Amino acid sequence: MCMAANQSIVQVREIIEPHQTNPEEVITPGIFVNKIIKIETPIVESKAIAEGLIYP
Amino acid sequence: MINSLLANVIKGWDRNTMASKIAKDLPHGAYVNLGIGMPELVSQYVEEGQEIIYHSENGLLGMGPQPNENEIDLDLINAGKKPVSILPGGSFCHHADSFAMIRGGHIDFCVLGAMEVSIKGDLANWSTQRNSSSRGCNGFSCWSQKCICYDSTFN
Repeated sequence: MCMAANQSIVQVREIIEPHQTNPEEVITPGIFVNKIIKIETPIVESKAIAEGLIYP
Repeated sequence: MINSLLANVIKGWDRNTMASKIAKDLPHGAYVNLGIGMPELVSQYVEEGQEIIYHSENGLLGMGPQPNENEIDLDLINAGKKPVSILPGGSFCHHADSFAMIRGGHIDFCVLGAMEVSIKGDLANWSTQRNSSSRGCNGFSCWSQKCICYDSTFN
């Protein structure tokens, strides 16, 4: 999906150092990513729905 | 004006000087494709503190300089079929994904070898000669979107 977008914003749980990635395991190279937002404990959507939370 | 330009052309730079000048011109953080031939030398001249992410169309992103002889891995080659290295954070990708980066306009610069360039910048970069392994229409057809550096010696 990132490949097709003009701007891609990626939500991640963890940001690691470059040398910690294996070149063979990278699925989406950074060239397709414009912004990164780190959220360590994201809300699980099914739980949020069960609790009746809605987007503002 | 043209005379002074001609004087520079005749004097010329050698291959390594040209490669180092191009490397210095590239902005920090740029994604740069290196073409076959002289452009391959550019990755040898990255200055300290300058991060350039080199792309090779055979499926390499984060390509490093030529390795020492004892570190050569023949599965790790650039588009010119010469051994290269991969820098931390680099990745391998499919040939089609590699061209998606190119055609999708994600690459900021391309360093391209030219066969002939006129004084006005007109470019001849394809050939159909049979006795050469890497001639053809070249990648130029894919590179029309962004900035391109020509890299060639003038004879």
